[in-house]
Amino acid sequence: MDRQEPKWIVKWLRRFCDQDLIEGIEGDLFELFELESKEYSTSKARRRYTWRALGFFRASFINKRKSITYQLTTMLGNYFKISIRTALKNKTSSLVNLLGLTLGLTACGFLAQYIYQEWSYDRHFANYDRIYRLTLDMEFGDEMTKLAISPSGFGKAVSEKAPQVEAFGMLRKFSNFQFKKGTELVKTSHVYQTEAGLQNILDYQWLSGDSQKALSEPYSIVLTQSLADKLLIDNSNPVGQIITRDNEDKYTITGIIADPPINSHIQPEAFISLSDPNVVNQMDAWRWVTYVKVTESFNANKFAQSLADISTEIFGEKGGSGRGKIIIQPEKLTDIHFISDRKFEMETNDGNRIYIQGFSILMILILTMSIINYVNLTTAQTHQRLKEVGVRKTFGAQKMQIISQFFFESGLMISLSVVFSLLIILGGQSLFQSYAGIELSIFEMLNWKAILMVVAVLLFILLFSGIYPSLKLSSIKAFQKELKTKTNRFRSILILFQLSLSCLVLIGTTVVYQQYQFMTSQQLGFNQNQIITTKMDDVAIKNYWVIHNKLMQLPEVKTVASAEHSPGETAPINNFEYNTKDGVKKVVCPHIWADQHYVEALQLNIIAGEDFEDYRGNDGKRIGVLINEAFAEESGWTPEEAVGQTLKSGTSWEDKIIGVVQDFHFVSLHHAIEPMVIRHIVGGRDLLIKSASTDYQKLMSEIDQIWQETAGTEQAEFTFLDKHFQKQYEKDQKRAELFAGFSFLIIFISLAGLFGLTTYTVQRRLKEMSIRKVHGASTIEILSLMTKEFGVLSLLAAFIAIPTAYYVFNAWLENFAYAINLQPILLTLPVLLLMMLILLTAALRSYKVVRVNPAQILRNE
Amino acid sequence: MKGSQLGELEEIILLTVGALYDDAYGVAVMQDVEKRTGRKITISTVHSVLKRLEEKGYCESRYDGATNERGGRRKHLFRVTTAGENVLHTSREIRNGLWNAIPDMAFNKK
Repeated sequence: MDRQEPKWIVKWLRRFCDQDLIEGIEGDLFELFELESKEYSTSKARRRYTWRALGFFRASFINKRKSITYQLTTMLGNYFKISIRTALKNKTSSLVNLLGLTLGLTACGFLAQYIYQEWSYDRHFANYDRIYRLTLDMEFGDEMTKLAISPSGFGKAVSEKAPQVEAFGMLRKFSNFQFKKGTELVKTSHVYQTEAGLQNILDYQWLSGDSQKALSEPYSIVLTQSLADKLLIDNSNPVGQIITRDNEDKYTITGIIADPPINSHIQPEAFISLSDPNVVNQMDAWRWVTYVKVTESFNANKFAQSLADISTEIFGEKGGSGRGKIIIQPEKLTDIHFISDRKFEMETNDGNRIYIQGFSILMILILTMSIINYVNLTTAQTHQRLKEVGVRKTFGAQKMQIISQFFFESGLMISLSVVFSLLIILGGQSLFQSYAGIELSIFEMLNWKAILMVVAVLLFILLFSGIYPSLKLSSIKAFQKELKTKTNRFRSILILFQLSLSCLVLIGTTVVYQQYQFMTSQQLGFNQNQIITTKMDDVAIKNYWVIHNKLMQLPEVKTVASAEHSPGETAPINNFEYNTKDGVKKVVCPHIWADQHYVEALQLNIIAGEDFEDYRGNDGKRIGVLINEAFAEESGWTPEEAVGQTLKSGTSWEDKIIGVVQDFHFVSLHHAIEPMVIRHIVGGRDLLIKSASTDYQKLMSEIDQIWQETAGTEQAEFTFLDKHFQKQYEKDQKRAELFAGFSFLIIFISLAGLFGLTTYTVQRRLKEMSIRKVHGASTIEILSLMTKEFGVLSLLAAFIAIPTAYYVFNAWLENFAYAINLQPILLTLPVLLLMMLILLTAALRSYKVVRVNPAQILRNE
Repeated sequence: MKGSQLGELEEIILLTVGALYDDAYGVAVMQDVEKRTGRKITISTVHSVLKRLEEKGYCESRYDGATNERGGRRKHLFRVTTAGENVLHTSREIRNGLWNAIPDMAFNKK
């Protein structure tokens, strides 16, 4: 008989099975194999043998002496049991640990989303690290104007002259396109015109149509999915359909792209092709944003150098038509959201890397606090576990095993917190998203990199929270009965660290909040209340006087004004010249256009000269300009001197200053008040209605009616100017609130830690304090003994935190044009408050000692 | 004693071990159970049940002398212990008692 039983499975079986059983098992298997090899082919018998042998891999046959899995599961089972028992024995500290870690992880989960959304701006484009936006800095006299836009031929010119540029792209934004859908008009505010090669620069996800050819023919349009849904009557086969604009231009749909992600600096609704392919060669239309893609062997320094040469080549040494020198500034695609605040941006870039950094630091701090709590509370329990570790060591436990036991305990605690915080995150997700303005869904953020990050962070937490307790506990000797009391120093340092940070954070929150309050309560210099505003379309502008007169007849309406640019918007920049004794001087500053009711509507103060006058009507003749105080100051005139001076701009425009208005904050309080010129216009795009009553509902319905009668069917969207103005601070407010919320979390976690520690100290010193009481110690004495440690530590923390806070927040406040002063009270009051809270926490817990009857504690000694 | 209950399969195998008397080892038990009851059970199940019975104290086991058969492996032989005998008796008595308790009417009806 040839023995061809499969040897490998026998080998594994031998390794797995109990030593006493294996011979019988092998024998039986062999016997059956021999029986069956007579009956079946050898291979079938072997197969059946293997199958049968596999049946022996079950728990009941396991070799308990050798199997690592068996030993591990038993050991882990024991660790688990002990962990649970210890946790239940010290309910307060387990609860504090669990709470701290759960809150910490939850906060991190939320913060991480915020950070991710901001950080990931424009990173969804395939070649995001090789795409630059080319912007221009223009010199006007002494001042520099930073433009986001450039001439239409710029991109092509650069790509031809710079060898490092591989491709170029260009965009022009139309914010007021209306398309016809049957008889309805569909408004769009983000239509971009682009040349054919867009996909090579900014790759969107094409749902249909040919991405390479779609935009090569004039009057082609590529819609996003959501606009297609909104615009098309029959959406089943969009490509090839023709849509009509309100001015009767017809566009052929050549493609559909998926809606672009929200975290991008451009938010297109549609792309249209160039109506004249020749514009890429022309240099006179300054309305285009230019992108370039650089080659892979790109070198930033060389590129910057070649751009300087190219600038001279394209724009000339001095620039044309009265302009100064032009400097090309490349901006990395991923930087635009954070750094770019130029004139004529396509969207406001409100990202701020400081906040990303701030929130990241906050995240680390929160985690650190929870970890410190864990380390402190666990090491505080060391003496409880002397016996346990002693017994384990006596039975031959290695140091490594003890270490792994305590790591296991930390791991258990962390896993539990992860589960809880996941539940909280999932439950609170929608609330947080809408609150913090997060528009990415959690699934869009979870890619494998993010998951890897999360796992890495959790491992870090495990390492930092487990390493000190486990090393300390594993160093206990088998027969050690007492711990040296010196070991407190490390804990004190940790507490000191915690308290200093809490102080710092509390001061920070106070300062940020005060600054925010200060900014919103600042005198704007005009009355923003009870002003309703809207943007008029061309039809409404044509009928402006009709609308004006009808509105003025309403009893609730005080004033109706029109202007080009209402407060809160970015005004265009212009350069103005005027004559002085020393010759011609130049001021580069924003200017707006307004009619003769503007000053009245906003209740601006005219401090010298006069307002625009009424009599010219809308004949378009210039009737002088107003300037603000800052302009007069800049020019060195008193307001009275300024009236009557002549301003010039360019070659043809010239006008007299007729009045000076008191400074007012045209843009937000982030910016200092600049010199400003108000020029006269009638029928500007912005309509401002100053209301006398606050019964807006009635007023609005009346306005709506007038609108329908005169301005066509289209209903205008009205907003309140104060709301509109407030919008500028919305993000600030959200950030300040988020910051405050998470700061309080930090303080809460550290206070909870102190609470846990005091609980533990109370347990340990109960006897000592009872003896003191028997000997006549008063309540106050006992309380002060119990809280002394924390008192001293919080005092030290204050000494560390206050100067640091002064330094840090002074630097922060310098970012604001209008900032609060760092009064000593701002620094000390929060710290005092916190110290009181700390002592209160400790005292509350210690009060237990005061209350107990010493006889009860001492009787079983 | 924990787990002193005798399961149905355990009972059958214990009885088979008794029936085979001096030659009760895995394969033999398996074949005998199949022959008598028509139930196909795997060899690993047999071993597992035998081990459990031994842990409960109803069987004891030994290895017989070396042979050249079975690739030189000895047979792992089982024998019913007194405790095993008792539990089989108890089980039988319970059944007998129940059988006796059934009135004749119950099964004769149909």
